[in-house]
Amino acid sequence: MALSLMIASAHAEVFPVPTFRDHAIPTPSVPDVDGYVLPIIDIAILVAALSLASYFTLVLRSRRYLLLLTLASLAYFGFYRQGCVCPIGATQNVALGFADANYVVPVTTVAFFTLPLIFTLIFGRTFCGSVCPLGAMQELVAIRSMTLPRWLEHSLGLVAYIYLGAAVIFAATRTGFLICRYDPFVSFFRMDGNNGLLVWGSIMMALAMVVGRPYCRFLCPYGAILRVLGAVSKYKLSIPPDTCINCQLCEDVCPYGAIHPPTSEQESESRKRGKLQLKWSLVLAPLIIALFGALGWFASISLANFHPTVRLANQLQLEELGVTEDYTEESEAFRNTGVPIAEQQDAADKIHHQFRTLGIWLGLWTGLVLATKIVYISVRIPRYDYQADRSGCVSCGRCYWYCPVEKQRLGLIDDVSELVQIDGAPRGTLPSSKPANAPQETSA
Amino acid sequence: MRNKFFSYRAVLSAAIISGCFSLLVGSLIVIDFVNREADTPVDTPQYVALRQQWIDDPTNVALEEEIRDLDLKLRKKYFRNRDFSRRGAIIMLYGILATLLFGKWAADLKRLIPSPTVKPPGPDEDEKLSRHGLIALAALAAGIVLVVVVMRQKDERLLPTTLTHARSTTESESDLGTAAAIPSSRVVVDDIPAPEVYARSWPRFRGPDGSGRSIHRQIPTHWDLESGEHVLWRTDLDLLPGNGSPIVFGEQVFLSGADKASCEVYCFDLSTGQLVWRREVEGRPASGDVELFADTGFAASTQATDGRRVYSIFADGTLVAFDFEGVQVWLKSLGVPQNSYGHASSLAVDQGQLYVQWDQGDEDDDLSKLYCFDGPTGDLVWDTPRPVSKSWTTPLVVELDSRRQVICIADPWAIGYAVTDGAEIWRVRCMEGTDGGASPVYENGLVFAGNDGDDLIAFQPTGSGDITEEAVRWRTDWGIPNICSPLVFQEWLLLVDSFGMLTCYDKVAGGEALWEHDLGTEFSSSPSSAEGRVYLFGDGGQVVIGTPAAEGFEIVSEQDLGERCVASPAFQPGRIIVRGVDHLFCFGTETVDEAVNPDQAGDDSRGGGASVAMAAPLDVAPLPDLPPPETFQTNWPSFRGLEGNGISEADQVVDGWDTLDEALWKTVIDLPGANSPIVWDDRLFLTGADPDQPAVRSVFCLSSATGELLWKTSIPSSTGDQVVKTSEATGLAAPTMATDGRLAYAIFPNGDLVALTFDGHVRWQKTLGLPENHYGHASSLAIATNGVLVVQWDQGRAKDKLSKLVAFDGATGELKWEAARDVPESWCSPVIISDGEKMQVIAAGDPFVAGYDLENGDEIWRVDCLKNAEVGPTPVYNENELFVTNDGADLSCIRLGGLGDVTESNIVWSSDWGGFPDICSLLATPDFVLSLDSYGLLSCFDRREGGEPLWEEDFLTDFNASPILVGDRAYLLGMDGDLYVIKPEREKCVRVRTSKLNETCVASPAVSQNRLFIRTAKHLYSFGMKADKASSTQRHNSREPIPPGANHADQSLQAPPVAQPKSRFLASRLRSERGETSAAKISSDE
Repeated sequence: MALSLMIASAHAEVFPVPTFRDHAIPTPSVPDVDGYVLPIIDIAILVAALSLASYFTLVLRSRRYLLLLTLASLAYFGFYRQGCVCPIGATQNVALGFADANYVVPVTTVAFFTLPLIFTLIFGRTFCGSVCPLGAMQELVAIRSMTLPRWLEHSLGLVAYIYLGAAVIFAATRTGFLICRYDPFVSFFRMDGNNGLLVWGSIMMALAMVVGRPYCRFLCPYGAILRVLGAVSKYKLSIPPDTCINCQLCEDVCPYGAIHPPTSEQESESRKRGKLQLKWSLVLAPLIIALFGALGWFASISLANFHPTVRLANQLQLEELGVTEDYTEESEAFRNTGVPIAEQQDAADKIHHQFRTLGIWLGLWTGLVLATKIVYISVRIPRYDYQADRSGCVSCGRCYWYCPVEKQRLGLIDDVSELVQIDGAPRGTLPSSKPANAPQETSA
Repeated sequence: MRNKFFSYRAVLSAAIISGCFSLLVGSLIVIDFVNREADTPVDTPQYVALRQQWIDDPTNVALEEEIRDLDLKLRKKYFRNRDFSRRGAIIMLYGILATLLFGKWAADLKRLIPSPTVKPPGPDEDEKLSRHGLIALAALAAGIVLVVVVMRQKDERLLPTTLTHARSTTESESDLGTAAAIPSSRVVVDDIPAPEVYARSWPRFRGPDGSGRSIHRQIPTHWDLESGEHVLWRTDLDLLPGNGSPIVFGEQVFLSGADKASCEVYCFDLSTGQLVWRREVEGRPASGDVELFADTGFAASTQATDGRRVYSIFADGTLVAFDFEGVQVWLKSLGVPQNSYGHASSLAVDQGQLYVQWDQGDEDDDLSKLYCFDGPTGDLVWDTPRPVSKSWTTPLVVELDSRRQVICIADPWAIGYAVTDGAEIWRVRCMEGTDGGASPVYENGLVFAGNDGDDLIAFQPTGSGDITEEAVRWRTDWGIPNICSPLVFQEWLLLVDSFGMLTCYDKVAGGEALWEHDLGTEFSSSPSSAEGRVYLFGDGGQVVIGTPAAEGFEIVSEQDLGERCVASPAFQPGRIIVRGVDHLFCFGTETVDEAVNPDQAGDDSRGGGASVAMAAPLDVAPLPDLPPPETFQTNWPSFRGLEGNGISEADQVVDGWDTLDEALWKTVIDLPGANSPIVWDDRLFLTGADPDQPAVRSVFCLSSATGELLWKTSIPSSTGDQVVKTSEATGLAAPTMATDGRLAYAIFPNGDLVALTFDGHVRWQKTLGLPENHYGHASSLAIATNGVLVVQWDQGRAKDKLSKLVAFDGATGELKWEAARDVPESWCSPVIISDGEKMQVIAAGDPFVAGYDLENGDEIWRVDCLKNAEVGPTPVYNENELFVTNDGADLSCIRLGGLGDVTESNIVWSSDWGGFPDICSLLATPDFVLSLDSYGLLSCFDRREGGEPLWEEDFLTDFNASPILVGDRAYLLGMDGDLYVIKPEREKCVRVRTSKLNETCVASPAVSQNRLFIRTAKHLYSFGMKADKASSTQRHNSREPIPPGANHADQSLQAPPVAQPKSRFLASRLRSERGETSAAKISSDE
């Protein structure tokens, strides 16, 4: 399938225009702006989608409606709007807006960036669950997701924070919009893109079939922000509408490892070890941050080499050195300008200096993320029933579907024992529709 | 019904159908793609073929239309295909979406409750997270560090640390102005030092010609590190490591060193050994993962210098030029080579161009290249791919087959490239399956190349294409080195393998090894020679100095460096510079013979003579125009006069003397020489050499009017003190010089060829290599009136194919052509004649005499008449007939004309009378041919009557000098110093007069301006009419002697009136040289 898509997108190949006919070569032109209406519609739809998502998640607690909303969001924000504007990419515009006073961030972009944040702060990650087109793609292809160990989940989850730091720095320095450049699904939305991007998207899609939402959990920089906000959201999702019977069903069906079981009583030795670990984590945290700050300084040259100005200067330098004999289009264009190479190298040198500082900041940020996580996993918070991890839960609603208590609430079953035995072992098939004699739903 | 319609099975079937549909669509897209002819319309074979046709025939309108139609058709098809794919992809995506939806629906309809497993007792999930999470986070942190390190390694800063350098480089390049705009094919050569200065330095691996042979003298044979005896200095190399050998130019010694992090270049003072400057290469791109052998290191290649800049190359492909002040001039990166031992080929420099042998990967990888850079700017002049695998050998630059070539060897080819454009000239299969480490050497027409694992071959690098079959002279599989390069020493080829076995071969004959000598230690350093000794530096610091001979290797001394040494030494006058791993040593003596002192490097009168071709002219005043051809006839510009027939146009030459007081003058010549004097106007030239001091020969210039020594220029020998095989009679100054009125040319028995201005400065100098000649080279030079200088370079056996005729542009020394000759060694001289149409060079040798076109060296005709003869007498041309003979062969009279082998048709007559000479050349008068053998028997043959012998006259003394003819009188000069003037008549030999010099005479007399010049063992005599008589001839011999240093222009003003040629054949020759047609000749004759 991926091969077919690659073939379909192969028209990106460029070949010479006809040389024997009076072929009118199209003049490059700036695409028409959307005007005011479409952005307003976009914002309105986003608000509506977010509101519905929050409503479906917290009030209706309906997985089915959430799925329908997911499909609708994918159709509009994904395939119709072709993945742009999206709140994930908007992070970069905002970062650039802060860094460059001359850069005006469009209102739509600001709205797309802030609205999901606000909704998350109030209602949890309802945006991720059924509004984000990227999440929707992964949600739909999640056929049989495996459960990853929590230690792996927590470690890989940090990559998204580092990616966020790099994306912000790259955007702020106009190095490039990393998030957009490596958006794995945009090529599907647009039915376009280079082979590399298509392969990257196909890999992510294939992975999403067996690992739930890999992009959202381990890479999405915006998701990283939402994770933090989600943890402190005003309202939080409760898996059972009433008392949890600890049947373990929700934990097993959550493809994102976002439902944690109740904790057990800790032995004294383990408690001691835990305290010692926490103490050392707190002591080592500043050191880790400092070390990664230094690492960021060390990486600054590599980071700077991503910048187009530096890349061009490097290319020119390689050409001057004789390492490469072929000019690139950029270097040829630059040479045609007649600007001395030294000027380009001067500009590159400034960027190198800039990245020396930013590299340190990125390192410090990475160190902070790591140190925080070390401290976090060293802290033990007791749980007495199955709870959704507020930062990790994307409000997909799967757990509602399986929760016997929820089924009972909806009148689909009379008693939880129809689905689960007293010892917690489940049995039977899941009733998916309400019996004719079921009582009316009352409230969430 | 509704439930049935949306039953699990129906929904699942819908999912499967939509899945299959998607798969089908996807497959169709792929099949369609596979069946496409090309990726784009313009890649379609049919289109490409038509375009090519149109390029070949751009005026074909019909074809143009056909292409237009096809282009349109193909583009339509392309966009149809594209639309097909695009639509297919959309349909497929919808299909996939439907599959997913139906699949989910189906799953929803038959959703099973998960069956959670009972959690085992023990630590809960949070505790596991707490424990394992730490390890996972540590792994993540390590991964981040690893990624950063890898990124950093791959993305090393490309720009210089400070941009000052980059700007200065750019500015300096822009300062070059026109140089920057010069097309890459043209080489910008700035003021690089004169070739002979270069030849006296040690500017690259194994010396100026890469042979490892030094021309310098007073090289120490022993030293004592403890007492400091002969240790001029010893400098700690507390620097970056390196295995490159030292190179020396002027007062600078250069080394390089590097590690993975940085590359450095060092300059030391030759006098004191102090580090003058140390520079790190700036702006070097990231080295990445350089694959190398620890023993090779990052700075294994030896640098090279053109005398203005020092060039260095490092294992990561960094190529850098520093000037002598330590300023980085330019920097290139060739990329990290695929070379398992690391790059170790050294650099070669020639006439301002830098050559980099960049061999890597395997033979089929197409990665190997030979680069040529312009030294001053670093611009790529050309590069050429090499069909070889990785190697560690160093290129040679030699002049062969009329052009300069770069010779590179590697598995599996030795290839010669033209220096002008890198075009391959020839290739010879060698070194197959080996790790080529030993560099080639070139000596006298033979290249020696080989490496352990395959044979070492000696081959003649002439011809084109794959010349393996015909070029290889000999090969051996014994004693082949894999690191140390061969050394040609006198007539032997010496090989040192890594285990210290020194093996000796006859360099020409090859065959079995003559001897082996176990040096008792391992070797990486290549052998060198100086002052007739071989210097061998073992890995452990042991130094063996010895003298090879036919019987074996005689050790002169054994020394010790006290530390490991893998680099090859550099030589300078009285000094040897050696790089150990810890120290840079300079052994020698403070007192150095000025003749080879580097301080004298700028004195071009002491031109060096290494066997590098040194054709570039010195920076001296422009030469005046060539004198008119007529003036050649009035002078005596070469052996036996202009056409080499010994016939003088003078008419008032004395026929002898009673006492030596009658000599016009007599000048002592303090160096012996068998060559005859040549005369141009007031200047008389000859050469001399002391047999006990073979390192230096001299060219004398005397006033022909007064005998005053105007100047004497010493010419250092390219072979140093090496003994050159000569006979006692020929000596080290046997060949006679030649002059074109602007420059005087001299050749010596060791192959050194030099051009001097009339005020004694070396104009250019080169060497033809040491000849394979039992008596040493004795053939004299021939000069044409158009300034072309011809050398008859016959040597070895005929089957050796070493003999050739070589023509140079006299003014510049540039090679004009070479003509191979299937003859063995000979000692006769070429003569240049005109047959009325064109100028020919006539050269004799066993078994034929042949005429060659002076323009291009093409053989015009040949006559087989000299079989089984080691030809000594020079052919004599007179009045369209050629006379050749030799002891053991007939005397033949040959009519000029025809093409190819004219043996059958052009021999007018031949005589087997016997007693023909083996040294003295013939004399042809209009009626007779005179033959004088070495024992004094003069035979006279009737020229007009089929060579009938007429009479014999025995002078009862030995003769080496060839007779000359003045008017109707022949001048015969015996070895005992008696001059016999005879008048040959049909019936008898009339002895006109006999005069005595009482000195040994082997040189032929010269006649010019009615004066007779005779060289004896110690003197030069001039005999002639007294001044009052001579003045009536309107010659200029009465004018004042020209003081030393007077320029040629002044002489031209005083040149004598041009005499009209008396010979009608000479007249035709002069017309030919003026470019007049044969019609004009007929008219003139009429």
